[in-house]
Amino acid sequence: MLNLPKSEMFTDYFFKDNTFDEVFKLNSPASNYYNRLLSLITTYSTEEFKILNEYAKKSFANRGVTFATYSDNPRGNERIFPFDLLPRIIPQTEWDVLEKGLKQRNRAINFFIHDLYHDSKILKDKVVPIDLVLSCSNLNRYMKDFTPPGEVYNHISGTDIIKHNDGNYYVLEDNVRCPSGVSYVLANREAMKKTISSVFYNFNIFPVSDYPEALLEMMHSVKSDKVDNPNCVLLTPGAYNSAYYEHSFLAQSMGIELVEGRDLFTDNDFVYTRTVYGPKRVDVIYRRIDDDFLDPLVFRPDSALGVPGLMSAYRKGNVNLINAPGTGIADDKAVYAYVPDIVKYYLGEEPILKNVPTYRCDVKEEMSYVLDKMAELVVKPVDQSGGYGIFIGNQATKAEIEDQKKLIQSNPRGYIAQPTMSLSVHSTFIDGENKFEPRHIDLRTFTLLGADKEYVLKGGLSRVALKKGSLIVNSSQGGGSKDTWVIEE
Amino acid sequence: MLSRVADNLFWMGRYLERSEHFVRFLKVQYFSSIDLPYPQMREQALLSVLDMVGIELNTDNAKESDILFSVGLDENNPVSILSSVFNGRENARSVRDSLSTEVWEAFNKYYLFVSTYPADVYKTRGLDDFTTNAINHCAIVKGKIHHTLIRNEAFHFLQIGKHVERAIQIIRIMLSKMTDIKELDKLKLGSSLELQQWNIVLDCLEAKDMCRKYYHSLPTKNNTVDFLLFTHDFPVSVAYNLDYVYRHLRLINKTKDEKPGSLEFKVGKIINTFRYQEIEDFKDDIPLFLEQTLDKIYFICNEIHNEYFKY
Repeated sequence: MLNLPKSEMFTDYFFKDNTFDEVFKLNSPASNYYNRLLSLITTYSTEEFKILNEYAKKSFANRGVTFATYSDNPRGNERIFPFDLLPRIIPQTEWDVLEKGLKQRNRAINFFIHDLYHDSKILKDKVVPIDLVLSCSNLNRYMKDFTPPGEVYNHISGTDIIKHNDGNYYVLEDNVRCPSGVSYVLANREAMKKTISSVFYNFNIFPVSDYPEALLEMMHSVKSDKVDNPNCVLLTPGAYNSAYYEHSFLAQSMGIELVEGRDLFTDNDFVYTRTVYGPKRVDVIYRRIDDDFLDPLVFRPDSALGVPGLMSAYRKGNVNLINAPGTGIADDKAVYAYVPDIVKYYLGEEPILKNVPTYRCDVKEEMSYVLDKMAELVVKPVDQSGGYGIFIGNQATKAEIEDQKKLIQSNPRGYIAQPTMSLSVHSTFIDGENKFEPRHIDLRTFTLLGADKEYVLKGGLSRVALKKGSLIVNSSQGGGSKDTWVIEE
Repeated sequence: MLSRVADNLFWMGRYLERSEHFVRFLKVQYFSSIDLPYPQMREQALLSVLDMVGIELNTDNAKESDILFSVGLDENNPVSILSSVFNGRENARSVRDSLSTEVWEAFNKYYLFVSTYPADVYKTRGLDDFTTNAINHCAIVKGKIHHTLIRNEAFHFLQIGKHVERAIQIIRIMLSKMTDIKELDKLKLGSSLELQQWNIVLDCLEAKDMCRKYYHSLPTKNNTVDFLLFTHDFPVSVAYNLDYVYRHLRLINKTKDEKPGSLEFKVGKIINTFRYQEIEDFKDDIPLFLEQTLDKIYFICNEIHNEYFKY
């Protein structure tokens, strides 16, 4: 390990066995950069660092970079997504491999989704089991035999990556329905620039501010051919949705209108907004509403968030939806296990990014293994998000293990299991302790696919599990984040 | 411009303006009442603040600090100053993408200032600090609106909301003061106190210096009412604000005909009738004239709603 800096902020810093400490690991590609970073950060005293921390928090509050929950208080409990000032560094040589791998993986997923809604060749060739796909609740029969403009389905993919103690990156999961978090990447970068500006001069960091431009370009690239200058909108469930900040931020950054379902209506299979001057046609919708709520005429009839007739307009090619409905078929954690095979099948290439070994509970031999080794495994529901429902074997009591066994046996298709990955740790400033401690970390990346366009945000959202020893990094479960620097080399 | 967005902007303008008026009214009424010679006068001052904000409170056994808290920081009170700021901020938040970042952040900081102000400080020694800083925040928000927004529909709807609310509050303050004066008359304390009350009205509207300059004398009932209703060149007169409501409406739809029955025609009719009135016409029953004007302004609001916000 690198030597600990002589700063009181690193008093009693500890290293865990079999854990990759990204900051202190000797001879890792980022070692020299962390050396430089630490020497700069430790010029601040603990008091000064605390003040910077508070300043960053206050700037988030002032800008309204918050997420709110409304369960306890009708006016909403607004919270700042906890943010740590020590950035995560990924050298360009390391990043380039990740980026290539992300483009490859998400392109393959796109082909997969297209195939499933057309000829299902991959099922006929028995590369992916047919019962797995047919039993997926996110399979959207309304998408059968329809091809969206540009043949793109997962325009925006949020691929979650971890670094294991072997120093390699692994994909933890694919999120191709409505992945969120990119606004925090941009907000974090702004906060960093204003708080520890002097540190920036010592590194050549790739900017992240090009994301809104890339996103808008992607939206334009998948417009219908019949339209010249597409009217793009962002469809939000509204100001009471916990991710509303991100919706309004992205709309504003792209200069497009932020709309709610009630601002839209369909007429003659075209979609229009209700403006003060009358109807205005809409061509591309970046929708942050789940499939189920999109169109009460086709999906959930009780949805007040969607637009009646939207799917009809979509199928007629009169409006495009980002991401396409029905992409959840590739989001399914049981399907995840086959993604490496999916890459080989459609692209004829070896997958660059590795999967975590995954056991399907609905396959008899794999279920026996899971039941036998439950105490060493992580069990996840196939269709949840936000880190909910995750069972971690080595942190559970005997009773909890038995309960979990009963749970998965009652619904085997609903669960998968994976070995406990040793997520890397990163030095994080712990408020109550006034010093840095290692905390587990992951990386949410953002890949954009358009018609003949591919873009990966250089960096992403490094999410930190703030609770000591915890492996759950999601914001809804008390996670925090760090700025991620891809260093130009 | 989406109808929903226009609606939110209109109300954002109204709530911002409303909160500023309430804050100023609270500040001026409270501090001017501290050295009044009679306790009934202090009580009347507090009652008028409650009335201005719209709170019905049994004040018999209520402590002054609790009354002030109810007016200012009570989040459970839908008409408190905090609630006005919260509502305006929710409006702004719902249409963030049609505002500039500068306007949003300024309004958000205003809201954070009010919502995190310590109640114990407010109740004991913080009223001046609270009201002064709140007024400063409003000035910043309005400055950002003025300097960072392009003059499109978003700007116009915001301004219409502001001007409408300002006209309403000017009239309400005058009506409130006439009620105060009537109550004070019963105490038979002399007419100099009545003149002092008109000073207070002008202070509440930041109009005292200009009124004095305009008349080259100290304010009286008639010249104060005249000034605040009909002075076309002064931003805190009803005539000025109604005129700007009309101007902004015309800017939203420049090509529309002003046919009888149209929104612009109805508004123009009211404003022009108002333009050519003078205090001589109604000086025997000023409150009645004020009430009638208020009704006309509410009518204008309704017509704007029907034209642009119903969807």
